[in-house]
Amino acid sequence: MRACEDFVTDLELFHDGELAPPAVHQLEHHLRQCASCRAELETLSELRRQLVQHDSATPHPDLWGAIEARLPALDSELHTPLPWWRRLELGPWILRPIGVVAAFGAIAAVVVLARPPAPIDVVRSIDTSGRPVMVLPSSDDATIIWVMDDPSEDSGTGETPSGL
Amino acid sequence: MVAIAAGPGAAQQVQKPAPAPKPTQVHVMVVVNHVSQHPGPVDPAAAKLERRLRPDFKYKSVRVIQTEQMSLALNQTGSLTLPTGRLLKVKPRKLGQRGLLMTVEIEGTLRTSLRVPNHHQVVIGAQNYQDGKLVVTLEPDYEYP
Repeated sequence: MRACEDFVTDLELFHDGELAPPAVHQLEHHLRQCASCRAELETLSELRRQLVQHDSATPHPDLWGAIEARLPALDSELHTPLPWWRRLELGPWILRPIGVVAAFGAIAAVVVLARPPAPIDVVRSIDTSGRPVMVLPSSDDATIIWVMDDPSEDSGTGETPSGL
Repeated sequence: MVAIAAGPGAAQQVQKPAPAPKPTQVHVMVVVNHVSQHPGPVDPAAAKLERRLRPDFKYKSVRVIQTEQMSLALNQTGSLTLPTGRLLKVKPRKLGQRGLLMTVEIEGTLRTSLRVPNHHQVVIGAQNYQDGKLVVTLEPDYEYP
């Protein structure tokens, strides 16, 4: 279910509290009548709060080894292990598996590694047609979006490394 | 008696129409890179990307394949053809206080809606290519009104 093209941008601004009052009034009037746009607004909210289990059927040794090595360091930095619902909040190197049903289609899982500022502020929605995707910031001025290899695809060369 | 009539030719201040506001232009620097696990050099033009990827991704070489500076009005779509033959599309939609709302699509692979602060780089590793992966970087440059 896609949001109305005329309101897609306004929905995002409205969700971020940046939509001007006249446009807010117009959008609210539209939302009362449009289920698609209401669903899109809910999706934007889901991106920030929903946690699903990231089912990684095929480990990616080139990438996950490095990430897993950082997790104990994170716990010691935070002094106490965080319960999973706290891991949505800002903090260095938090592994956040997040499942999103985007307005454009379903995706399998989005894994977000958060370094402040959280990359979730840059990525508003993402659709990879079911492929797992990872989002992480590399620094304050960059965000990385990495679509993982689909294990069912034939890479052709036989040498394409997983995770790259 | 002299009658002086102010006819239609009397001087009138001509109101010049206000100049039309310039449409907002957004510049997006798009660079298509190839990263590979086969040994090789790091292209100096890709040094910044290499530093960004190094902490999390194992690869041995990186090179720049193509570069394009897109100058786009809001809601105008810019596109380029990737070495895989797929289209990359970029569409800036709205400028907000927290950044540029922008949609990026790599045909057949990914569609994402982003809010990108000025000069914030978005790095997208999406398509397998030859013995590695295509990595597209996008960096907007705009003036917030």
